[in-house]
Amino acid sequence: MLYRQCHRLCPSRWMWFLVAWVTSLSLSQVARAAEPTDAPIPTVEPAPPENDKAPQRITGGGEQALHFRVTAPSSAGFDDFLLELTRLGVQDIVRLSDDGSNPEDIAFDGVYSGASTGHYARYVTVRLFGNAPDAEPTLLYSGVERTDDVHQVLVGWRVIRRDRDHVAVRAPAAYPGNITEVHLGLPLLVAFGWGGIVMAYVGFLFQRRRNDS
Amino acid sequence: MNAWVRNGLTLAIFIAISIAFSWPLVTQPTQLHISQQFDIYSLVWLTQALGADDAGWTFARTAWPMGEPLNRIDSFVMAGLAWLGGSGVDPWWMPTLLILVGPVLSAWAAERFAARHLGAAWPWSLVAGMAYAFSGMTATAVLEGHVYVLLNPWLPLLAGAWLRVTSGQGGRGAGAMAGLWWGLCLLTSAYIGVGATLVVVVLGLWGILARTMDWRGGAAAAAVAGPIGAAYTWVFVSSGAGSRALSRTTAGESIQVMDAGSMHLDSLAGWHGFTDFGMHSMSGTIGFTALILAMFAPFMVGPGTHLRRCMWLGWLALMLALGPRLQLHHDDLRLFWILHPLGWFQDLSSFFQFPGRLMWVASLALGATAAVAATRLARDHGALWASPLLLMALVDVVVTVGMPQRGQEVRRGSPEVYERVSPERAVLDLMPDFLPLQSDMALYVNNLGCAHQASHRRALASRCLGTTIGTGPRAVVGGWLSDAVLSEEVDGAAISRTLESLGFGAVVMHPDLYSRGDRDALAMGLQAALGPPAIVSTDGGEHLVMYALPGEGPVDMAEARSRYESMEAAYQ
Repeated sequence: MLYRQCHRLCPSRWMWFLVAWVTSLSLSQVARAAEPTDAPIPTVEPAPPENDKAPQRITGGGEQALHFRVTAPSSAGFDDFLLELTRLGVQDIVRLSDDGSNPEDIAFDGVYSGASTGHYARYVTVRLFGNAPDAEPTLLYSGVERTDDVHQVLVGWRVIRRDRDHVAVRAPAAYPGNITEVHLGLPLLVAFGWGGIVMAYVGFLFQRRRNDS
Repeated sequence: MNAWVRNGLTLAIFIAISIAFSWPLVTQPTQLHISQQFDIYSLVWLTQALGADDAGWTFARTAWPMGEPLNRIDSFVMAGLAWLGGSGVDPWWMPTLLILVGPVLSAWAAERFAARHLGAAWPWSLVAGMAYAFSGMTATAVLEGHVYVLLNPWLPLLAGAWLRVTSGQGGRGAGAMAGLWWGLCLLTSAYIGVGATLVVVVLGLWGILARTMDWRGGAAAAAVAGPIGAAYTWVFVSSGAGSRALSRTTAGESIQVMDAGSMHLDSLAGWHGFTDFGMHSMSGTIGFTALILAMFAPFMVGPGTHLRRCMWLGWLALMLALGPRLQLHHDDLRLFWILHPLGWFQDLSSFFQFPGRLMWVASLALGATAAVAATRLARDHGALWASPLLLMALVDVVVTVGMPQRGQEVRRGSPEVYERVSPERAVLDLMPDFLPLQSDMALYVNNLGCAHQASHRRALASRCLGTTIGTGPRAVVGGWLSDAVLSEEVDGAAISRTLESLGFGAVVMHPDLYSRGDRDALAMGLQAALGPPAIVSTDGGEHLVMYALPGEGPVDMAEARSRYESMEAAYQ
């Protein structure tokens, strides 16, 4: 009886697929043995023999580009921004500019950009400084940022005024190329526009149905 | 159309959508994952813990030396699959398979539910499958990483069987199957279990009030579901706290916490830049096509049909998923809403932080309702006029759900440095105590370290189950070690002896997580206490510095535990 009920209620014998899936889990062990390693093979540099106190070094990982964006109002008075980046223990300085000198920058649009390429890092430590004319660089932000994406990572900040000082807050970047508020909401605006089209079409079909009936 | 051809086409369509939804996962299933947040790492860790040869209710190789109780894992179905896979299967296969195969089976079950129990005709019944299994909830599960909820054909099967029982069309057999499907929902995830209970209560009450309930079926369902529910409850309450500890990630009143885990009106429409920004990726959209068709459905539904029950179930679930306060975006409206009274039960409601997950029920019920509405429109106007609806449902997956562009491509590899530690000894990961604003980083690096265990299999001091950070052996021993090496007089021999007696074979520092000043001071202190680092590694995407500890061979666990307990008592 249970089988009959199951047969009736289980659509189209899909349970066989569950069984097949579980079997495939076991078979994947065989596949795993045959497949190549999935990460770049790390390179091991042994410690030099004359100095047995030096640590052994293991390096590896493919190339990864990190892109940075900062939006700042002109009233903030910053010419450009300096990003102090610690990536896999190595420090780098990235200049974020809005004068079009960076190939991916649109000049004077209020969005400062810069990029850094290096070994794949899951997270980086950053400190963001604002450069104003005739003044020491101002620390605007300090923190650890996730950068796990293999291909392209976009990290964005927005400079805001808090009390009498300026600070930078992390801003999500919905689309590469800009991090303005319009772009943050763009997917939602597109969705609402699309919803309007669907509403119009379903409404048209429904109205036609009412007229017919 | 022949049933085999129809089912084959249905499967082919859902497989194609699943591949597109999770793109590019299918191209490199053994090398990448596509999640944005950090639950995927816990899942991988749990898979290897449950698949281990010494798997049990306590996993000895995390939260070292105390071990980690596993009786409050979320998904026992996933646990069963991991156990079946055993220790020989790469734990990373679990999320990959669940993301690729789970939605296909779930969509198929939803499609069959709409066709068999509500009368939707093929191909319009596909709308139900797309709305249920390729909705915002699916994107949320994929991006947050709790992907075991994607294998959930049980909810449509429960709705179908229970609909038959409560409308007097199914006997004891249908009731027993309904009980079984409810049990599988509960064992898939606690939140799916809550959703399944909502289905049972709403349809059951409707059946009682309409006097269509088959009581023999109801008794059979209770006979099957009762023991499963009782066993689940017993496992849950047998250890662990009576209320969910409010960590820094869940700080605040229970209403505030529930509010953050609820659907907001904008998240029902689509996604935006902040949706995936930190910790969560909550979006509840079922697509405008299903939503609008379901809105028009009341004008097409006759009285007393299955569809009417299903439709109201869907709208109720959607209302409940909006949580304790109605919000348009973030916390802008703060209007009193249906679940607000739950705030009175502080301890109990602390376990119900995500009312938004009731959208699984809404996605199923409204998607199936939409499929029937599309069938009616197709019948009245012809297939040609209705066919754009299918295309629109497909576009919804991309435009409103936002997949696959919301996904990431993340490498799976783990650092080799852990494998240099003796297999009999544990590793202490030394990380900073993060500020509350960066608690997502704290969870991320903790869970990432746990997932690495799937490769290196060394014992860890980290606690890997749950989201209460800043507790457990890693926090206690790490805090003690930091204090000890930063003190004015560093007693390296005593520090080494203590760590050795706790069973540790190495300390692995994560220097890039510290501020520059702390990093330098801590590195100098560690060098003074433990000697120069043995290995500096940058493979696997992390900069790690390993300090080797003396000591080889098996650890005296009784001594290690006793030592840890006294350290914990003194440190806290």
